[in-house]
Order: sequence, then structure tokens, then C-alpha cells
Amino acid sequence: MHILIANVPIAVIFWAALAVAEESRPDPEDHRDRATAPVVAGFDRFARHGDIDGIQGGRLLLSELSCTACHSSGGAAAGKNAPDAKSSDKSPPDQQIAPKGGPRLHSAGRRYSQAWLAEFIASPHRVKPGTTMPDLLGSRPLQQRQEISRAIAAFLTHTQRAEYPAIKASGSTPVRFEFWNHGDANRGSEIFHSRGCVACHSSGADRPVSETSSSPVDALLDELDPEELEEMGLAGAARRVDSIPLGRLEAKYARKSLTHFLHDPALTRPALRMPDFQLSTSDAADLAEYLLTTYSLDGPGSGTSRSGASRSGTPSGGSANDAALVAKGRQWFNELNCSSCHDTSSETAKVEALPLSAVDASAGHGCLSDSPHRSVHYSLDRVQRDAIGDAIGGIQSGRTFTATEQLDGILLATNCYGCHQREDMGGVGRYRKSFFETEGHVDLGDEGRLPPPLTGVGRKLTSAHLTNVLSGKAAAVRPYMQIQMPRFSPDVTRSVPTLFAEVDQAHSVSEKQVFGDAAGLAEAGRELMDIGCVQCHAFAGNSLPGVVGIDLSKIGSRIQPAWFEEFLLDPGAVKARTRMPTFFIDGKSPRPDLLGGDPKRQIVAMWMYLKALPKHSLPRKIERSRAESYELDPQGQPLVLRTFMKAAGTHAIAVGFAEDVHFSYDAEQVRLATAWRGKFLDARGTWFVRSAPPAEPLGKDVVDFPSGFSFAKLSGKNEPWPLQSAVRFGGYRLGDGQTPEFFYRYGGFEVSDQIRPAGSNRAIDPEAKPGLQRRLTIAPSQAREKAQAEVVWFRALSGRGLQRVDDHTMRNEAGVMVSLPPSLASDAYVYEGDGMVEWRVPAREFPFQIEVDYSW
Amino acid sequence: MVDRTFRTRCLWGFVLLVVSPQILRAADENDFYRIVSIAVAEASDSRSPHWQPAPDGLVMEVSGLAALDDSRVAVAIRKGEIWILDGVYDDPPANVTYSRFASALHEPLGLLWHNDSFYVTQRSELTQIRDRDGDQVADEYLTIAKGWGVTGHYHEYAYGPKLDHDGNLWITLNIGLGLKGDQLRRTVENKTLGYRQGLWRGWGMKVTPQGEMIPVCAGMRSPSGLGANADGEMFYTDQQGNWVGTNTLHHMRSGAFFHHAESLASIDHPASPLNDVASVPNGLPFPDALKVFPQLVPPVVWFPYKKMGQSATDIMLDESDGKFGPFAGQLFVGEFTQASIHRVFIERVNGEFQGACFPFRSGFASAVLRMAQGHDGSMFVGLTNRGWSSLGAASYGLQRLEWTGKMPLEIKEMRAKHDGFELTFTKPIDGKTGSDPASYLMSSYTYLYQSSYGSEEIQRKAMPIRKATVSEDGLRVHLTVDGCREKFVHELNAIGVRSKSDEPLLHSHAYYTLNAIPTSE
Repeated sequence: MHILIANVPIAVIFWAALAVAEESRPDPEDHRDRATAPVVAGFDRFARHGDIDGIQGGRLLLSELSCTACHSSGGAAAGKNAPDAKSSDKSPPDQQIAPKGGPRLHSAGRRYSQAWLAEFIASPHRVKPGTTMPDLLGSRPLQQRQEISRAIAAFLTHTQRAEYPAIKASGSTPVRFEFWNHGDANRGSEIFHSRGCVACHSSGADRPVSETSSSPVDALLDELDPEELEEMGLAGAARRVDSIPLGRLEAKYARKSLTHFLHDPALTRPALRMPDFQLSTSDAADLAEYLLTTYSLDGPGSGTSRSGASRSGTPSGGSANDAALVAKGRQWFNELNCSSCHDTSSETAKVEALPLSAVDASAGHGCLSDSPHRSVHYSLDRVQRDAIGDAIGGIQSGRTFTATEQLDGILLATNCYGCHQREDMGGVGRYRKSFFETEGHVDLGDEGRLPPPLTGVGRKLTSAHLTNVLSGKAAAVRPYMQIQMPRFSPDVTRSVPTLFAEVDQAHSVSEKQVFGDAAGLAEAGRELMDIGCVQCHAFAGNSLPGVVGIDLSKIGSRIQPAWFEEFLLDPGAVKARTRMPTFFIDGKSPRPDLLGGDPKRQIVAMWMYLKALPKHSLPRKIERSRAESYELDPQGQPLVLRTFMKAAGTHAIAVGFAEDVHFSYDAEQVRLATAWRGKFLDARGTWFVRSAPPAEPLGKDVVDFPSGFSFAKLSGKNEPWPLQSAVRFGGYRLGDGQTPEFFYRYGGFEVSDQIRPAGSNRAIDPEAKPGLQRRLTIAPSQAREKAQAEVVWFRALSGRGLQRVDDHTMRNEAGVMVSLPPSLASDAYVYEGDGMVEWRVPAREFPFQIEVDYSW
Repeated sequence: MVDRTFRTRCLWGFVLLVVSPQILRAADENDFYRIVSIAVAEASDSRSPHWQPAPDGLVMEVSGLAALDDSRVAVAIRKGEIWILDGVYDDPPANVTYSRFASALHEPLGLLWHNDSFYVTQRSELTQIRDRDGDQVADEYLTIAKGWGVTGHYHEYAYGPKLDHDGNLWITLNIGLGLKGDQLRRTVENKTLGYRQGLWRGWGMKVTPQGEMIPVCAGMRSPSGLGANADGEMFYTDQQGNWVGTNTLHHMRSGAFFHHAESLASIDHPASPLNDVASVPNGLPFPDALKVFPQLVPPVVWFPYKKMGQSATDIMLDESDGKFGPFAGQLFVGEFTQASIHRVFIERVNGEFQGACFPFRSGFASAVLRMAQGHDGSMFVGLTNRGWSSLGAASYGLQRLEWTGKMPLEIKEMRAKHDGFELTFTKPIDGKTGSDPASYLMSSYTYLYQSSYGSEEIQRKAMPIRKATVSEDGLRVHLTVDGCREKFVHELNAIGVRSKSDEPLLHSHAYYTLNAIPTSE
């Protein structure tokens, strides 16, 4: 099992938890007085308390109880629980009520225990109180109920056996063999209580909320009495929010099936009312393990471990599936019109009931009646019946629904309000907020740990970004937040961005219209980042040490320009209680020197800069701090870095000196490759970047030396310089003062080669720039019998043209100036050929020493 | 040089390990092999281009490991340094000290202590590193061998060295992927086959004690682990990808070609022991490819994908004579993506190695890249997942795995027989379950030899177990199996076998690569 250091807070919570009263947990369902009424989160939280009207509440039930799967809300049959089902309804599509639908049953035979299926079908409200599945057998005698449900369970188990999806593994996606058997309940509990599950479901008995992390909002609510709450419009916020029941998961699922469901809920429940958190296989297994073996609504110490959960692939509780029973099950499945709500792989008939426009809501034997003979039994309570009646009345009176109501309908049905607040509705419910923390417990207030409010979101976010967020394609913008935004169904993804835009009156205004001509402002924007943005935000993955905040790069694809301007001018007016401060107090910029101190122009500049990331350089403060982490600063003693470099090649050795002069050495051609002054190198790419980018000199006055080998044995001084060489690099030693001394073997000689800053002449000339001094010693190798009378040539400098500066100094067209001791210079030879000029120094007596001064 | 914060974090790891409540399970690897965290970093996005190490402490992305004595271990890190850690056997390791021995190495991916020196393979050379003046910091970096192609492509990792019994140092060289631009200037080409790569890319090299570098064998893709068996024969692991159906273990010997065809770019070099490759088949089942490609040799062991990991890494021989449990003389193989370690049993049949792999231990904090046996027999496990991903989500760290002394029920050995297989167990099994053919499930399959990425298991066939015969001492069972196929992987699940005390196998799966069926009993 994995124990990560990051788990420390959990352990703390765990310990703290033992001492905390049961009372502080989100409610277990057992106190509900409407014990078996179907639970529809939006209805229970808002409609029951009059926060939304009966018609809106009733419409919500018509979709969530899938009434409109049989009773079309317009003229013809509504779509089923299939994401892309197009309805041919006669009323405008935005006025229809799409039924949520039940689970797709193609693989029900593999996923659910047959015994549980039989029990559930026979008595859904008893087996899973709060379910939205109606009881279709309630009017029949007990024995017949059991026969029918056994037959349907046999039919499903025997015929609905679609394979589980094969899950692809790769270098970026670890998938353990039989991952569902390797879940860790402790990690599962952590996931359950931090990612967002407890926004809708009850927390487990193993994890009551710690008092220490209680929400400041809840603390405020605690201090007010009901009248005050009512007056302040906080009654909704003060209410406990009911939990969506999970039923007895261990009776229904095995490890494999629950893990697969959590990994990809859309496969069986495409309406995604239980949204897709895009869990990895191992997270899904951990969560399943937790839910099956440890999750319990009972108080601590009640010891209801459910270690009996089946480890095998198939849920337990098999029974005989003789052909006759299966055939009977198929028949009943058809007769009871199950396929109006459930997709299967079998051909099934579907019966349509009266459209809602024609039903009589007060009929004595209808779904809404109390009659024991009614064929569909939802276990509705009074409030629910009345609401549905209101909604049907609305439809029959031709009431149409505004965009605001349509949007609200979706936010209620998908329970967006379970996490998000919009205007004065919703948000993470009371006593649930404390579960949600910021990664690493950085204090970012509620903005850092609770999902963002949706008030005015249509004006803030671009439609494209909203679509990406809802469909799970957007990378997490708030990586510090533990609670996670899940993926919703394509239906929701398609309609919500448009409705937000319409309802929030977001006028799609182009950047040009908002900002005018903004060319060339990016650099000013970069400077403005340092007035404060860098203290809380990241920039293309870079931030000041310890800073966790929204990454501001890619803002252009997320945020609407008009909102950006409005928000920066006065953040508090746009977003209540935000931690984002105002930088333009009384309309004055802290940088009056930039762009005439005009806040609006400065905001444009910021926008342009953020859009230009990551190509534009990072804000100065971040650059400086990054340099502290990765820039090699050879204070005190020389520093060495082996790396790839453009001029020095793939065998480069860079050496930096405190004198602010540095060089790179090519250990393949064995030559001095590049020299520069000022700053040395940034090592980040070499140390930590997988793509192994070449390191680049950070400083100035960068000069490249000619490529090619430094030594050659020539048959005559006019022979062209060879392109191949038997030179063999031998490594380096760190001698006095840690300056590396390179050595190599060439043609029976051992060469040592040390390059260091040239002795300073600044006493004489304060403007003198430091150069490099090189000392080469050529000695016969020990293996060599005795020095032959041979010449080894050293190529001191080459170029297309060499200019003689004085009798022992030459300069090439790149500006490299080489000085030799006059004694050597007098023996040197200037070779010309193939458009090249080379200054060649012969070494004739060994050991031979060459001292070279480089300046540029 | 002790980083207090770093140490504190490690300590926390311990406290949790001890107090976390556990869900009881029938068998738990942790009962038999216990993981001790010496230093483990926090999780971060291992694939982000903006990856950053934890702000404090040493960036211990372990890329090389060498156990030095009974209190110290040396660690090479990807950043390019060698550190010496003292106090690593303490339990809990609360007082580990860290001192930097060497720096400025270019992504060293191996570490060997030999001849009173450290040896590392850097991207462009094999280097011997010494401290001449005795101040415990290296001052000499000698180039022992170089000359393989380095085009500058990131994937051209160089691994090793590992030592054989003759004093040779072995190195393996990754293939480059999709070279372009300047990188192509640094390549060699075989015009007949049309492959272009840096010289000796995809090859296994041997450097003699005299410093001569000899190219030995070719066809490697990502040979991140190598190691000798008890006889000093050298093996390496490879990773699924182009030309490589799934992860593998291979025996390195002169002239052998394993799979990745682009390594053939170097065969025109005079030092190449491989030549006369006229064409390379593409898209054939591996057993058929062997028939038309004479230089191609099958792996010693295939590691079926997902079931036996997703990226095989280091090889470690258990030389502890039992101090590390019942598997003395066997090889352990690291697993990157699944942050685990596998076990391998090999035998010689008709002169060539073949054998089986078994799951061994999962649950490490991050990707397992390096392993080394400590002086007490326990195993140091070096971790880093940057650039890829792993089940253990920590970015990097060092852990130690020790045998608790409890004997797990495991399939210790699986041998090929002329009529099936023989299993040896770590302790006696119950005769009733052991001799019931229904206690065993077997199937066989192979892979496609193809230039595209990886391969499904193909030509799968169920293998009925005709008879299971348990030896008198209960330690062995002989399985008579119909229809065994040479060159195919034979997957066994001994799901029904129980010990005498009704304990199931800790790992019931084994995967035998049946290159040859022994001809006699």
C-alpha cells in the first residue's frame, strides 16, 4: 500500500476525527421523515423550501424521475438516456423536458449481483430508499412480484453481458493487472473525502470533519438565529443539505464492477448525474475498495466492516438461469416497458403513454395517485406530487420557459449547485465545506478550497473554455484545489455555455473592441506583473517560491477581455469577497511612469503580455528567482557543467569563473569552443528537462572559436588540416582552485590543457575586459619508447582572413584575438588554402609548452 | 551535510507507515517484504514541461546505486551528481547524512563501485571518478571509453556500467527517436536497410579492463537495466515500443540481435559483429520472424504488458544466500510505471537461457529505476518518475526493501519439461489442491514483430492441464500440459493451490517464455 508524505494532513484529520462528535457530519439519511421518497438533490434542497417555485421543482422531477421517458413533454416520445438522442418533439427543443433515464443495461449481467437485481426490482424503495427507480410491481401479490423480478434478473444476467472496456496503458498511464483487486481503502477514503464526493454523498463514519478546519462561513451561520438568517437571505445557506444515498453497494457490486463504474460512469449512466471525475484506474480501485469494505454511515466504533465483498470478477449471488426463466424475464421486461428508461442489447418494445399535455394529473389510478392499483409507484411524497401537478398544469396552460429557467433546470438536475453558488443559490452545503482543503494547506481562503461561484460566469469565461471545462478537456486551472471539477454529459456541455452567455448577457465583444490598438504593449505588461501579480500567480508554470495561484498564461483563451478589464479595475465589485486586491486605487496606477499611468492602457498591456506567454520572457521578479534556483553562479570557485551546447556540441563541458569570463569545451573534437563574459549558465534544462535542450550562454560577448581539431601531424606545413583525428579525450582533473585541467592522447603524446581567466590588466586599463589564458603541455606518452624527431602542429587560430595585430598577435573575422609568446610566434606559420587562413605553431621538442592568450 | 527538512519529511513517512490502519486481506506483500522509506519526495506532475523539484532538499532522482559498506550507500542522481548517504540501514532511518562526492555529470544512468573508484556512464562517455587528495570529494574524472554516437536527441540514454566476472564493464545505449535537423549530422547510415542512427545506438557494449570498447549485440530500444546472473552472464531489459511487442529480458552475447531494427544502422562499421542482414521482416508473429531472420534471437523472458508491468528497468541478482528470503540466485527486475519489482527464474535449455517471471512486490513510492543489494541482504530501491508517470506518485526517492523473515507461499521456480512444466514452491503445498488440474489455468500466446508501437497478445490458446502431480515433500508439482508451443509465452494462474495451512499463493501468476521444449525428461 502506498504511503505518501503528502498524507500527513489526513493522518491528522484521522486522529482529530476520533474526538469529534457525530453531529458535525453531513447528515446520514436516517433522520429523513420522507424515508423512501426519491431523492433529487435540487428538489430537496430548494423546492421543498420554496427557493424555487413548484413548477420549476415539478419540471425537475419530471426529468429526474424520467416521467418524460413515457409521457412526452411535447408531442412525441422524448429521447432516452442516450447523450445524442435527437428528439422529434413538436414543441421547441428548449421547452422539452429530457428524461434522465435509467442505467444502460448492456453489461448488467457482469456488473450487478443477480440476487441484488431480483431484490431491487421486486422492491426498489425498500432496497434502496431514495432511488428514482419506480416500483412497477407494487400492485401485484407478493409471490408474483418475486417471480417477475427473479425472471427479469435472470434475463439481465444471462443476456446482458457486454464486455468491460479494455483499458489502455502507456508510459503516462499506469494500469495494474486486475487493478480492481489492488485498491487501498485508506487512499480511497482520502479521495472520497477530498475530491468532491461528499459534496453530494454522506461522509464515511471513518472521516468526520475535524473541528479545526471548520469553515468561516459556517461559523458565521452558527452565530445567527433563524430570523436573522431569514432576514439576511442566508436561510438557504444555513440549511443542512441532504445526501444522495448510495444504497448497499456491497450487495450490488463486486470490486471489478464498482471500479469500472467509477472509472467510466458514462458507460452505464450517460446522463452523468453522477459526473465523471476522470479517475485513474488505481484511484477508482481505491475508491471502490473504500466504498465496499470501509465506508459506513454508522458512527465510529460500530465496527460494520464489510470485508465480505467479493474479490472475484463476478458479483456474488448467482442462481439458476434456465432458459424458460430467461425467456419469461425478457417478456416481463417488455411488458413492463423497462426499455423506455433502460437501453439493452436486446430487441425490446417500447410503449408510449399519454403525453403530459393530455394526462389528468388528478386521475384516481395514475402515477400521482394513492391508488394501490397504480402501475408505476414512485413513492412520492405530498410536496413532490403537488410540484409535479403544478408542472403538468404549466405545460397544459402553455407556459413557456425563459432561458434563465432553462439554465436553472440544468443546474438543478446536474446538481451544479451542490458545489457552486450562483447568485444566492447553492454552493457546497453546510457542514460539508470543511472537507475541502487547499493542497499543502496553503492559505488561500475559501477561494482556494471551494469551487468558484458561477455568478456572472457567462460574462467571465469564453464559451469555448466553458465547453472544455464541462467536457473535462480543460487542464485544471486551480491545481491547488483538492475538490475537482468533473465531466458532464454532452447534452449539458452543449447547452450550458450558450445559456450562461444568454442569461448573463455576455456580449461577445472582441479584444479589438475592448482594448483598441494594443500592438507593442506586451513588454510594458510584463513590467506591470511585478507590481503585485507575481506575488500570487504562476506564469506558464513558473512562480515565485511558495506561490500557488491561478496560472495566468493562456488567459486569452479562457477569459473575456471585457471582464478582465472590469475585474482588474475593481475586483471586489465583480467578485464578492475575492482575495484579488485592487491595484488601481482611486483609479491611480502604482506605475505612473508606464503608458502615462493610464490604468486602462496598463490593463491592455497586461492582457497583451499574458497572451504572449510563454514565448515572451517571464516577469522580471520570477526570472530573478528562477536564476537563484538554476543559474550557475561561479562565486568563489570555478563551476563545471557537462551538457549539450549549440557550438560545443553534444560532448560539451562548460566552465565558469568568478572573474565573469567563461568557456565551453568540446570533448569530442577536443577543442576550445565558445567563450563569453557576464553571467554563466542556466542549468535547469540540463538537470531537469526531459527533452535535454542545449544549454545557452547567459552572458554577453559570446564568441565561437573555429571548429576542427587543435592538433595534427602533417607531412608538410602546407598540407591541408585533416578532417579526422585520432585524438582521444581522457577526462579532467580538478587542480588547485578547482580549475579543470583537461588531458588527452594524440599520436603517442599526452596533452594537458588548462584554460583560466587571463591575468587582469585592469590596474592599467580599467576598461579592459577579461580574456582567457590557455596552457598546453605536450609530452610523449610513457608507452612511447623515445621521442622521434617529429612535429606536432597546433592550430592557434583560423578564419577566412587573419589580421596581424602585432608580431605575436592575430585576429580573425569573428573578432577572436590570439597572442602567442614571441618565441613561438616567430616559429609559427601562416597557411593559406581553400579560402582559409590558419596560424600554425609547430611543437618540435618535448615536453613542449604552449601559452596562448585569448581576447575578444 | 544534512538537510533537516528533508529528514523530517522522511520521518513522517515512517510514522504513517506504522500507524495507518490497514484493511485486512488474505495475503499482503507487506507481511513478507517491508518497504522502509529513506527519503521520499512529494508528488508533482512528472510529465509537466515545468517540472520542478521540491524547493528544499536534495533532488534524489536516483539513477545509480552502489552499496558501499554496512552503513553507506552511494547514489547517482539524474541531475548529474554522486552522493554518499550514511546511516541508511537505521530503522527508522532518522539520522541519514548526505555528502556530495561528485558533480557536473551529464545524466549518469548507472553507478558502480569498482577498483576503489566510481564508474558512471554519462550521455557521451564511461567515466571513472576518484578522490585523489582524500578530502572525500572527487577531483579526477577519467574518460574510460567514448565514441558512441550522441546526436543530441533526448532519448539517447546511456546506461551502466555493470561488471561481469572477467572484469569487463558493460554499457547499453538507447535508440534515438525521430532524429531531425542537426541530429542527423551525427548519424551513421546503412543504405541497404535505410536505417540512420548515431553510431552504436541500440547496442550493448563491453569495455575491457584494458579500456577497449567492443560492440557486442544489437537491436535494443530502451535498455535501461542490465546485470549479470550468478555465472557472470550479462542480461538486459528492454521496454515496449516500436519493434518491441512488450517488455523483455535478453541475454547479451556477441552477434545477437534482439529486435529494434534501427540499431542496424551501425552494422557497416568494421567493429560490428553483426553483418549480412539483407532485410528485416515487419508484421510477422515473432516465432515466424525468427525463421526468416537468422540473426534475430528470442528474449529469455517476455514480460506480458500490464500483467507484468509497463516499463522494465534494472536487474539485480540476489546474492544474499537467503538473507533476502527464499529467492537466492534469482534475478529481480525493476518496473517503472507500476512502481514495482518483478522476479525472474531462468534456466538453460538446449544451451540457451529461458525462464519465467513472477510478480514480487508493488507499492513503491515512485517509479523503480535502480536496485542494489545492501550488505545485510536487503534491497535499496532508487526511484524517479520525471518525464513519464508511475503508480507511486512521489517524484523521487530512495527506499529499502527488507524481508520480514516470514515465508510467503510463492511459485519459486518454473521449469520447462518435455511434457509440460514443473513448479517449485517456497513451502509445501496441500496435496489435494495441488494435484487438482482445476487449480491451474494456462494459456499461451505470442506477439507481433513489427515497426509500429508494441503488440497485442496474439494467437492465444487455452492450454488444458491434463495432470498435476505433487511431490512427496509437497514442494514440487509436475504439470502435464497438452499442446505447449515453442517460442510462445505460457501464462499460468495457479489460483487454486493452497499451502498445508490453507494459505493461497501470494502471487498465483507466472509467465514462462518457452523458447525450447526440453527433449527428454
